[in-house]
Parts: sequence; structure tokens; C-alpha cells
Amino acid sequence: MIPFLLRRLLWFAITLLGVVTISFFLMRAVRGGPFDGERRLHPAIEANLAARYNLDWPLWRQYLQYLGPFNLRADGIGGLLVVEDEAARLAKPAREQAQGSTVRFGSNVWTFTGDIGPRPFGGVLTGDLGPSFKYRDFTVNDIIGQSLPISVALGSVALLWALVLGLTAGIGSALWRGTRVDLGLRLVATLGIALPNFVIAAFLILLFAFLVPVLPVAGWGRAEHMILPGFALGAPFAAYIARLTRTGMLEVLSQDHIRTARAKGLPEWLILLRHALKGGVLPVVSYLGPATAGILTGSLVIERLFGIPGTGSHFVNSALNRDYTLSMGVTILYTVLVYTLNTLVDLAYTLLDPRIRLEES
Amino acid sequence: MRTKDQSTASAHAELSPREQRARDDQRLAQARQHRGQSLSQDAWRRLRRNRGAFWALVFLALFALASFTAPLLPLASPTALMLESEPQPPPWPLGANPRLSETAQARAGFGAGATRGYRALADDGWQHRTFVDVELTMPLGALEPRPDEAIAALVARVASREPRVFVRAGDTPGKFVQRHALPQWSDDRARTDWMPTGRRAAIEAALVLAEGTALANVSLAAPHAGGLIQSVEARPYPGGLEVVATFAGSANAELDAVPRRYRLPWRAAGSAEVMAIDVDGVRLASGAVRGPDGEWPALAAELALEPALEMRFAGRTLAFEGPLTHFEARGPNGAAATLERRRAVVDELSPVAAHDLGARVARALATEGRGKLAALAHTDGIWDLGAFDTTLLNLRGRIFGLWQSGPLLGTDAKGRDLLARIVWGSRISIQVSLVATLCSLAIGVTWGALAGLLGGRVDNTMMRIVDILYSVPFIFIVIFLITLLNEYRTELADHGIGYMTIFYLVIGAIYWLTMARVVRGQVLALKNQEFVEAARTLGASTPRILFAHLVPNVLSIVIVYLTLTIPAVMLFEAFLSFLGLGVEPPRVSWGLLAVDATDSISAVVVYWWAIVFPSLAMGSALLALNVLGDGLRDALDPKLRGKD
Repeated sequence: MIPFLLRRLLWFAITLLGVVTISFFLMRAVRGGPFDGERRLHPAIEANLAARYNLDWPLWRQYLQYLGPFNLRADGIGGLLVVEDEAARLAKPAREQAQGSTVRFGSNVWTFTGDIGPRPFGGVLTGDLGPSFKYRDFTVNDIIGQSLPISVALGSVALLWALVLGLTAGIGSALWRGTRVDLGLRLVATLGIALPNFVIAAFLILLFAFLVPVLPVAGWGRAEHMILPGFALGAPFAAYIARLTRTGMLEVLSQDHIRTARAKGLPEWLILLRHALKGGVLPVVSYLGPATAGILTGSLVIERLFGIPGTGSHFVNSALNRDYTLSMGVTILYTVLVYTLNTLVDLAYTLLDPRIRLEES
Repeated sequence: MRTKDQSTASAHAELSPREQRARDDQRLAQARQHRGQSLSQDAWRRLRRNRGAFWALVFLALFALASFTAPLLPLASPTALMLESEPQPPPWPLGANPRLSETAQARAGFGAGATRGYRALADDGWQHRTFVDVELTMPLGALEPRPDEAIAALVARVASREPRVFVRAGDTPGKFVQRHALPQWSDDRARTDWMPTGRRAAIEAALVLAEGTALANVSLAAPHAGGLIQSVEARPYPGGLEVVATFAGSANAELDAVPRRYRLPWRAAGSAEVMAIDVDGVRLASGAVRGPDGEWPALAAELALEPALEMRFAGRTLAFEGPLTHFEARGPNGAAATLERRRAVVDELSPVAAHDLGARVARALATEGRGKLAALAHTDGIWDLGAFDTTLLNLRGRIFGLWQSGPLLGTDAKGRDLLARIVWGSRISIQVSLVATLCSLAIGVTWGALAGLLGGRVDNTMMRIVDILYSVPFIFIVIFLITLLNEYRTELADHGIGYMTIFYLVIGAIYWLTMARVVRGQVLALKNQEFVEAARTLGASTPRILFAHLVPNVLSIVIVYLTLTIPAVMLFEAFLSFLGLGVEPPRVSWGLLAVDATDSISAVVVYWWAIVFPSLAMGSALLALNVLGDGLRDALDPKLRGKD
């Protein structure tokens, strides 16, 4: 397992490096600075802005700064690094103490001096996604930090919906194979796969805003706000999970150990839960990786439709507003998320089915 | 299935030898019939048996046909706006829309749908001209009432406002082609067309007949010494010509400020010279008019010094001759601005709207026995329909003429016909999905087949690349890419690369991964089989083995994945358009329809039809594609039947 994880990590690093590199250079290749507006700024202000965002550097240096892990700003790494004994430091009058951010190592106090947030490290590799170009007072990390919990909550609800609905429908469909129930469920599943989530969402809004106004169709904050967006977001995946479950269950139910269990006289629900389900949901587990990626993607639309201030809506807005750092940051974040979740799913898969070894596949 | 087997088995026991032999013969005949069937024949047979997939195929074929021939269908314009600011529900099931009652249509006199078009025409909010070339079947003079007047009146009726009709000579003797420019948008008043400034301006021939005779020769002189003619505009009004001129640089600034308007009515006899004298005593315009062989018509000058701010002048179609995109604005001042404004206007209009109007006029002409539609010229800039679609549009004019369907599915929030928008929107969706799918096909099959065939380290590297790309959330990259490419749109356009092309290619380039994997797997399974060995022994080169032996064998699975890729790409297009990164107005796609629909949701009133019908169209098409994909998979690879 350890070599597998290490190999995954290596590929992950390569992938991330590729994404960061390509998107960085694409972003910088775009004509016009991020601060170009209707009104031409005073050259001094422009120079200041460029200096603030390192735009006056050569491209390679900007790239290294963005990537990290070292902060290349002269006022950062070039600031003094003062190592003092804590007791000695406290003995000095406050004026003579080194000013700046301090780190404590044992009895030593390391102080980095400098003008603007002197940090030795920075950049994507240390998790610093840089300042937002449009929301001037916010860093990308701030924005993501505010919006990601919302998106995660929505995504979890959607995944939960998808699993509950999909597994139920799939198992039901497999149990009553060939009956009308099966046919109906399969039709609904195909429909769910075919319909885009925003169409489902529009129907839901139509239904719940005007015909049965029991659930809120927009906004965020309370638990019931999550129900409709979660359902709309999860519906296509529920449909796919239902399909996978049905196929998996049918395959398992026709196997010998199920027959043995039946012959032993076990009740049907026990057979289903204890013997069939584990094998039957295996395809679903392997689908969870793509499903998560899909839910993340789908949340772009759903968040916009239901007016949810999540990361997805930020991504779309940043793309439309040409806030390149924010849009890059969200891209990187989602790459990391998808990759991590895929790896987790692969791990879970081996736990459920010991026959499968951890190989890159 | 089982019951059938059982019944045949039980029947088998009771058969007499003779019956048995007969049945064996029958089976043999059946087997013979299927023997030698190619893969595709076999697959087609299976597909036909699968009822769901078969009907999905039929549905999709009809759908694609409708979408392909959308310009031919007598639909309303997908972009023409209506006067009503409020969307209209579909006229069923609650009975006809009161706004579109039969009587109203009858009063308009143009059959079903014309009332709608009439309104669309009257208040579109945009400036628009469309040219209708009308081929007259009889000599102009022989008709009573005079066709030019009748056409002008007709156009006036169609446009429900003062017409701006520009009449042009036909090229073929004996046939007259009149060119009309119709006003279509609401704010096309107070518009100036610039001419070279000077002391004098002469405008030839408002109407040149086939005989080559000028109807009017209008010359214009500036009122005062030092004065300049700033603009002239001419148009026939029903029964004559109207000339509007503005002047500059004269001593009298007030005089300059007021555009001068002169009416020169046609008279049906002889020839005449006319002169118009302004109230200021300044000779402004003179017209020399001769009829063909001196028969007709004459021109009488009639001063109409209305203090209108409208500016018109008699004469040749000044700026409206050529496409508006080629309009050249010249003038002492404000010329550039005028040009800009025209450009902006040009960017907004659509030939479909123009076509609607043209078709209505043509139909009206035909009903009144005056002539038939010869050609429609659209003066649009942005939505280039291409030769094929223009041909279809013209064909539509010949077949259906004026008739067009009413708003069968209601109208959207801006009052545009929903049915037309759905049909026209499907064109983009289908185009995107086909182009992108072909892209993915080309890349994916080549990549996968090469990897599978070459094997070893190459295979490993190529597939690792695919793995890496798989783990990237591509949609984010694509959105990022499209945002960046938006910056370079004009540069790319200079190199002949349209935004849509990029859009297609970017989408296509991300959908090849699964295809590559699938093809590689299949090639790996196939490449050690005897027929490949045999080909290799015979000295076939690697490309030959690849394309002549392996690719045909993986074709079935490729087709299956193609049918599954198409809906995925369609969804993706809708998704991007929904986010505002895909197709842009005035083009329409299903994604944009969904945006319109969700935007029209408000707390007060809901336009359910704007949500339901586009969703139904999209849903049914995608559903059919999915069903067809499943059916094809079963048909092409029976081993996979029932699996997902």
C-alpha cells in the first residue's frame, strides 16, 4: 500500500506541476494586465500595483514565486533572519527587539524582518494561492476558505442523495428484475443520466416555488436550503449509481454463494444485506471517484442557480471577471480534491474486494 | 425467452418426422439468410429488433432532419422580438391566444403567424433593413394600381409604419426587380446618411426602369454661398419620392438645424422639370423626370416643409445599396461615430428576422398576383448563415412564402418564438457534438490504436499520459482556456479562426481519453490474433495493419462510445453556454435556452413553458441518444448485453 501511495503522490506532483505551469503561463500570456480598466491609472500607481503583485519581475521569477515554496520577494527572504535566545530577547528594551514575524524553536526565537509580511515560504506548494486580482483585499485563500465549506456541505448532501436514491433504486430494480418496477426505475435512471442537472434544478424550482411551496428554492444558511440543490446536483449520479448497482446486484445474485445462502434458509433481506450487497456495490465504489469529480463540476451550475455562495460560483465569476489568480486557484484546488478523492476511492476499493491489488490501472 | 424455448422443446417431441424435416428446412433457410451477413448488417438487424433503440433512432433521425433543415421550415424567427413585453403562453391547451385571435390575423391579412411577425417587425428595438428583390411578372406601367405604389403600401402595411422603400432597377429587360429596404426596428428615426459634402449634390434615378429610363433626376444645391450639403436621403413614399436634406456652413444656423423635406409625387403623364424653392427663397432641389418613351411618369414638385426632424431625400438608395457592413461614412463631423453605430447595429441583427419579413412581403405579393420573390439579401454581419442555409431560406420563401407557424410553444421572456428557438438551438448543439465527437474520434482512435499496437514502453508512456489527463478536472481547465481565448478573439478571427471553431476543438480535445483507453484495450486483445500475424508475415507495414486490419475490428466498440460521447458533449456545450462561456447571442443553443428559462423564473410569475419545452427537447434528444447508445452496444457486441 505504501509504494502505491508513494507512486500516486509522485504522479500527483507531476500532474499538479503541469496544471500550475500551463495555467500560469497561459494566464501571463494574456494581453493586458489584470488592473487594466476604463480609466488609465497614474503611472506611479501602476508601478506600485505591479510591484505589489510582482508583475515587474521577469516571467520565470514570477512563476517561481507563484509556485513556491520559497518567497522570492526581496523584502521577504532578503529581510534579516534574527535568531535570539528568548530570555535574551525579553531582556532587551522593546525598541531594540527585532521587529517582524516570529517563530519559536525551543528557547530560540527566529524573527524575520521585512516590510511586507516577510515570509520565507510562499506560493502554491505551501498552499498560498496568491492575492485575488479583483477582490483586492482578499487573498485567494481567504475566498476559498469562506466558500469551500459551503461547497463541501452541498457536495456531501448531493453525494448522500445520490447514494441513497441510487442504491435503493438499483437494489429494488435488481430484486424485481423484469417487472414494471424495474422497467420504470430503469427509465427514470436513463432519464436522470440524460438530463442535465440544471434542467432538473429548473423543474425543481418550478415545482417547489409555485406548485408545492414547502422548500426554499434559493439562499443558503439553513438545513432545508440544502435539500433541493443537493437533490438536483446528485440526481444524475443517483441515476448512474442505480444502473451500476442493478448490474452488480444481478451479477452477484446469480452466484453460487447466494444460492447456498438461500438453501440454508436465510431470510431474503439477510441474504441481500450480508451476502449480496457487498459484492454488488463494488462497481459503485469505483464510480465514486468520477462521481465526486462530477459533483464538483456540477456545483458550478447548481450554485449559480440556487444562489449559493460556494466555490463553484466563485470559479465561474472569476472566469467571467478575468480574475485569473482566483480561477487558477480554484482549478488547482479542484485538481487536488479530485486526485485525493480518487486515491481514497481506490484504497476503499481494495478494502472491499481483497482480490484486487493496488496497481496503477 | 424461456417460455418460448420450453414451448418449442415440448413441441419438438410431438412432431412427426415430416414436420421435423420441414422445420429443419425452415431453420436452414433462416440460417442461410443470415449467413454471410456482415457485421453491420447483423448489427442493424439486432438494432431493429430492439424496439426502444429503434424508435430512438427514428426520433433522432427526424430530429436531426428538422434541425438540419431549420431554415427551410416555416418557423418564426428565433431572434425577432415581439411588441409584447410579456411572454406568451402556448396557444394550447387553453384555446387560442387572445392576442392572436383569428380575427386579428384576418385583419392583418397575412394568414397564421403573420400577426406575430407584424408585431415583431414593428418593435424590435433594433435598427434593421432587409432587402427584398421582387420580380414583377408584368410591366410596371400596365398594372393598376401601380405596383410600386402597391408594394410600398403593402410594405407600409406590413411594417405598420412609414416605409423606407428603395427602388432599384432590374438587370433583366422585361422584368423589373425592385429593391425595398424595410424598416424593422423601432428607433430608426433621425438617422443621417452621409454623402460627400459640397455645394451641389445630384442624385440620379430613384427608379430606373428596365428600358433604362430615369424616373427622376434630382439635383440639389446648397442654399447660401459657403453652405454645404451635409446629407441627403431619399425614399419613395407611397405615390412619390421624398427628399430630405440637411445643410451646414450657411450663414443661417437655424436653417441648417432643420432638415428640409420635399415631396415629389409621381404623376402618370409626360415628363417634367421640377424645382423646389424653400420658404427662405433658396433653390434647394430640382428634378428632371422623363418616362420611358415620354409616356410616363412625370414628376411634380411639391414642397412639404414640415418642420420634421426626419431627414430624407429622394434619389438612389444611398447607403442601403450594399451590405451595411461595407457602409462607408463620410462627413465633416461625426462620421466615425456614425460608422461605429452602424457596426454596432449590424452586429445585432439576424438574417432570420430579415427573412421572416421578406417572406411575408413575398407572400403578400404572390397573393395579390403582383410578382414573386426573387431573392432575399440579408445585410447582417454576425450570424453568417452560409450558402447552404441561405439557399434553404430562399427555398423556404418559394415554398411557404409568407406562411409561418405561430408561437406554438409560446414565446420566451423577450417575446421570441420558443419553437423556433428550440429548433435553431438544436443546430448548434448538434454541430458542437458532431464536430467535437469527430475530434475525439480522430485523436482517441489513433492514440489508443498506436499505444496498443506498439506496446512496451511506448504504450506505457502513452497510457500514463492518458492517466494523468484523466486525473485533471478538465472542465475547469477548459473554462479557464476559453476565458483566456476570449481575450484573443479578434486576433484569431483575423487568422480565420472563429470563436466557435475553438469552442468545438477545445471540447473535442478533452473527450478522447476514454476512447483511447477503450481502443487500446481492444487492440491489445486483437493484435496477437492470427489474422494480424498473417498480415505481418505477408509484410504489411504497421500503419497498414493498424488501419486496414485493426481499426475495422475495433469499429463496433468505437461506434458505441461515439453514441455515448455525443450526449456527453451536448451536455457539456449546454453547461458552458449556461455559464456564459459558450455560444453567444444572437446565436441560440440549448444551453442558452436553459439560461433564458432559469432567468425568467421570478417570485411573481412563472413562465412554465419557457422552462418545460426546452427541457423536454433537450431531455428527449439526450434520452434518445442514450437509449440508442445502449441499443447499439447490445447490437454490436452481444456479449455486453444487459451490462453497464
